[in-house]
Amino acid sequence: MGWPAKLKALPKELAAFRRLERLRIENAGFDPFPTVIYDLATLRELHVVNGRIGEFPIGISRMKRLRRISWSQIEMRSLPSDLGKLPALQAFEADRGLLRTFPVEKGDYRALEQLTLKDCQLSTLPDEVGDLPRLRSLNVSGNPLLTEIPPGLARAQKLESLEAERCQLRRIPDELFSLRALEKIDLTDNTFATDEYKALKRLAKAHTIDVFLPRTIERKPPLPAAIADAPLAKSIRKDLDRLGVIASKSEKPPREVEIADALWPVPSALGELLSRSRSGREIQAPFAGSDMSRFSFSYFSSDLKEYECIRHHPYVVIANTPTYFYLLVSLDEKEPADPTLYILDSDESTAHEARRFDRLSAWLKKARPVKTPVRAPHRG
Amino acid sequence: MHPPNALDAPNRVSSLVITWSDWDAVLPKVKQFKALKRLTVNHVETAPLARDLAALRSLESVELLLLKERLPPGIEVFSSVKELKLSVTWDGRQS
Repeated sequence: MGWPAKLKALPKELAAFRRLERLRIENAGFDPFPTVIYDLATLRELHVVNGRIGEFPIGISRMKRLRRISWSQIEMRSLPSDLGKLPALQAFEADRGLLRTFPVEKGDYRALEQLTLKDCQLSTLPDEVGDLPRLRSLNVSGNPLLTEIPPGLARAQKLESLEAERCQLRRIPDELFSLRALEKIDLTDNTFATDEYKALKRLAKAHTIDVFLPRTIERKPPLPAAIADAPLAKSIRKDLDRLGVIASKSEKPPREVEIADALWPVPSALGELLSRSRSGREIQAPFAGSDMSRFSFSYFSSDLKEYECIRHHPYVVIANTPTYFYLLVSLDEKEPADPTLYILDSDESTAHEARRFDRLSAWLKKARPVKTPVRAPHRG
Repeated sequence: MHPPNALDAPNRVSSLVITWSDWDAVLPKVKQFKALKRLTVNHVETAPLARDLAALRSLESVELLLLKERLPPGIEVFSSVKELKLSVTWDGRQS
């Protein structure tokens, strides 16, 4: 069993298909693209799925009836230079590809109604995309390098839908909201600055457009340097090393954590503790008095969202027990090198109350490594 | 072959899925597939396609699942179709 071969070429006899309307090719390995396809004068739909396309010889614009093109999962860095001259092209779709741009020249794509450039590598969109006279739908979702929707899109008077999920958009041109035909803007999973987010929310309320906004992410102010940069106490590092609670070489201490829709600055000491806690190592340590209990050092972002027990510094989960308790740690401003431990009963988590019970340094001194695996705690 | 009893009443078959090795059984009756509109051929090899296939005059859609990186010679026997699907798969079948 091996990776399938790629269709490298098409025979010239394909030109004899004088009634062909739809052509679908899966696992293509064309370099150059076979120009015999350009001779399919009746073709209305061309779908190429999976594979690679190298050079495109000029000539695709000869296909006067071609209405729909889709390239899906195609390794292809550029488009045919005369693609925009296709007189009947109504829908163009590229998804999961390597396209970095979508060039538009004056007078191009006169019939284009749907443009999908999804999960590609787009870093810009040309302003001229707003000059496509029939454009109704634009989908640029999943382009993590795309930071801007060009202001020119506000000239696309027939635009009904703009989908731009999972990009890195910083702002949206206000003028877009005045487009009469626009019914939907999807901006899910972008990260806007607070001011821009609020402005978008106001615009969305003022217009009868379905606007799907990202969650608001508030960024908390930075901590004083004395707290932010204080390292973890040496004795804590020593004990964590002894217990095997160590960070992997690729693990960098987080500088921010997201808790309850806010980004909190993480002091250096807590950052190191979090990166070490991902080791998942288990320890046996005193818990709630003289009892001995097992803890598994682990940290999940979902844990952080679950507990909104925040006032001036974030509590963060560093360990779980198999019996419905979570170990939280919070920085003490007076002793930033030695965080304070809290215990949270998961059954009471809605109360957002955590019980303070020890200094991390003191607790770790009494801890011993455990070899047998510990079961993940029950959630819910 | 699907439907499995296609050769019993070929004139009633509108959609047929075969493997390349089924040609020996299908070709003698090819003119009887008068209602055949959709044909899928798995495990396509590189031997020439039989000219007799041009008798499938109702055919609208052909899907060829190839094992190799090129089409068999004689593809023009299907030149009257409206839809052509070509796939190269690791075992010459639909995934």
